Amino acid sequence: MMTCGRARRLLWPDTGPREATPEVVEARAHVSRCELCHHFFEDMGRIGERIRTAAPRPHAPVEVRDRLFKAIARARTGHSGLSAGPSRWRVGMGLVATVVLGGAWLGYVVTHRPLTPASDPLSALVEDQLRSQASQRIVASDSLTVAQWLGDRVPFAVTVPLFPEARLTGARTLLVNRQLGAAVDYVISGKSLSYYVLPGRSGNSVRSQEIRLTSRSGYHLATWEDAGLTYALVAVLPEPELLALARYCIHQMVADLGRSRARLERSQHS
Amino acid sequence: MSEHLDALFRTALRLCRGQEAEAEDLLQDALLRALANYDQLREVSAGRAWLFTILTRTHLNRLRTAHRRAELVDTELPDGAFEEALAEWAPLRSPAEEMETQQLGEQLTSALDDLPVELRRVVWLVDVEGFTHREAASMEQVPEGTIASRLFRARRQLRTALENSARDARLWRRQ
Repeated sequence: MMTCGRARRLLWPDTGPREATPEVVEARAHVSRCELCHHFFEDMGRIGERIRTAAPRPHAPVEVRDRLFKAIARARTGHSGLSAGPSRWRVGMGLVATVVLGGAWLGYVVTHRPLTPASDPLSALVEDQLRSQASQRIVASDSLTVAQWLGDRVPFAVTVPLFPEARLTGARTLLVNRQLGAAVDYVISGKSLSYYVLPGRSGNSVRSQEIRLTSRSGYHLATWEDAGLTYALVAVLPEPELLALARYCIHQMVADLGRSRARLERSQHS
Repeated sequence: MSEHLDALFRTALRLCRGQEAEAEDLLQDALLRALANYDQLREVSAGRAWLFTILTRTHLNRLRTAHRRAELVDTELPDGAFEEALAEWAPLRSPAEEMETQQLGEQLTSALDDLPVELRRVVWLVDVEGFTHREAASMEQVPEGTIASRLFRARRQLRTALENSARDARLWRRQ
């Protein structure tokens, strides 16, 4: 004889399709006329639903994500050079960087092996974790503040250029093919202008400073390399204007380098 | 993938009874294992279940290593006892007598943490994270019937705990 307990075990919910054996058919017939069994299955559904809706769903804190990401990155790369401090991993991946730089850098800057095959869910997880921290940025109009902020976050010095008629609005860090870079944002003639500094070709420390102009997705880019870093100005400005800004930028970098050398020489003599 | 990391983290957190440092350690261990074995993942679409499987097994291994397996002993029910337990189920009271949803979240966390770890893991995987019995059985390396039995016992225990909390709250309000 079919008991309530047997029927409930045979028809336990969520165990997927079951073979309609004579016993299962008998259990179904029992449940169809047994009010208590009917309540039982309703209750199981209600309890499962209440647990699902009421269970706490905390998000992984940023610092936990950061530590997990670093552990994965260290394991992936097999060296510890990535543990330069949590701030190194705060990434500001803006729309322009994603849309424009992602394409522009392809085949131009990076000679490193791509580290994120699409079929690797852990890499996707890491990339997503990085993107999730895209809000890490500074809003400031003071070039010294911006330079110091970036200096705390990227492993190279960044000169924050000042352009005529351009207003400095802030800065971000970003990641392009797992290379940590810096982005400085301006507004010029009501349009956004971004200045990027990224680690360039591996081992390339030659000063080339040849400016290349290119376009992607409606944006113009002026790019050049210097001392192992790759620089770019990205905007919707006309190319001649962008070229002039790039030259102005290089001029300031050279002047800044000259001042640094002079300071170094003075400190060595004193 | 972001939701996977959050889901993995909160699962680890519950498995470790809310101890964040322990949960982070467990999750890191699981992710490194996943990294070492990701060539075993045949379909990216199965990535979520695969990551949870690794998390579950990492947790199981840790318990075994820590000789805490004894906790499992009385969580299993023979078929006959399971059927008896199913038959003894008393219908739930009316929704009005249930706990307010706001209170429920807090009480549920506490009640979940009081469950034996094998029950807690199953109710979390199935009821909260939405895995099927088959997926949970694969993660836990037990038959589907065992998942059903553990899930029933977990729900029954949670129900008792929450009803007790609701009764206490009503008594407190009347005072």
